[in-house]
Amino acid sequence: MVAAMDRAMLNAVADTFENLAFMEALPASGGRPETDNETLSAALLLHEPLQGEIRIAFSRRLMTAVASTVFGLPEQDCTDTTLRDVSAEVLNTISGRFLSEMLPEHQAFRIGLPEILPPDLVEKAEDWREWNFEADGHPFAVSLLELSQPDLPEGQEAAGCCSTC
Amino acid sequence: MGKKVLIVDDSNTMRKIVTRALRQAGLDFEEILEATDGQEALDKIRENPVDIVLSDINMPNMDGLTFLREKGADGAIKDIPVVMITTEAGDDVIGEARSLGAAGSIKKPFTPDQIDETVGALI
Repeated sequence: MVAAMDRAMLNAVADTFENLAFMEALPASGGRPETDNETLSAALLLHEPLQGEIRIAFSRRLMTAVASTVFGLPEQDCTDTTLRDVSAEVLNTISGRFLSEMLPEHQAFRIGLPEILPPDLVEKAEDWREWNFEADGHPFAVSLLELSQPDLPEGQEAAGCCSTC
Repeated sequence: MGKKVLIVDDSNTMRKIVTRALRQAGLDFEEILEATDGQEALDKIRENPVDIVLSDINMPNMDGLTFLREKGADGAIKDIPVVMITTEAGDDVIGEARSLGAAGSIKKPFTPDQIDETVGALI
């Protein structure tokens, strides 16, 4: 179950960074990025069938590199607004892809709109599941707080939606 | 006359990604318009009809499904094909989009090939 969730998140992150920013994102053992004024973080609520929240935290430098690729701009021309928008879209895409991998095929799901978190909410909380990655030499972290199990039709099982396994 | 496309998404990033993917797919549009939600999309295509619309579903103000419903009720624009580009690609949502007149759907993240396959067939 845990392995399935890990695999789903790895695939979601790798596909998103590859298709959005032409970057390779790999699992990292170096831990989450240090939280400072240069950390950007976004959050998105999961509504159905899973209830919870997904967050992503990355350095400003990584998001600048992604934004530069997406918008075709020199890095110095990437504004704060652009970086926030890119951060939100990366999280949105990862979340959708992750749920597509975790849930049974053709299972509908509903997620909220991504929002940028203020710096004081960026630190990791103990009851969150976290995955650490690295892209272009920069670490970033994706965290999941799962509040409820999926309520699926009889006979169907999620691919690995169990935070206690 | 060249083709026109309208990209509808509340994310500026995603609008840029779709624009990039259209270009990489070799789909040559004379004009690429943008809208941030369904209402703005309706206003734009009523004023300036396009050959195809690529729309997100989950947007504030007016979402993609409501946009489809409103477009379908307007005789002047109801026949413009709409392709949904979305993270929420469950059968229910896509099925509802189809029943409201969507011509196709693409799940994020997507490749230029996937854009070409779906959009290219409609223009």
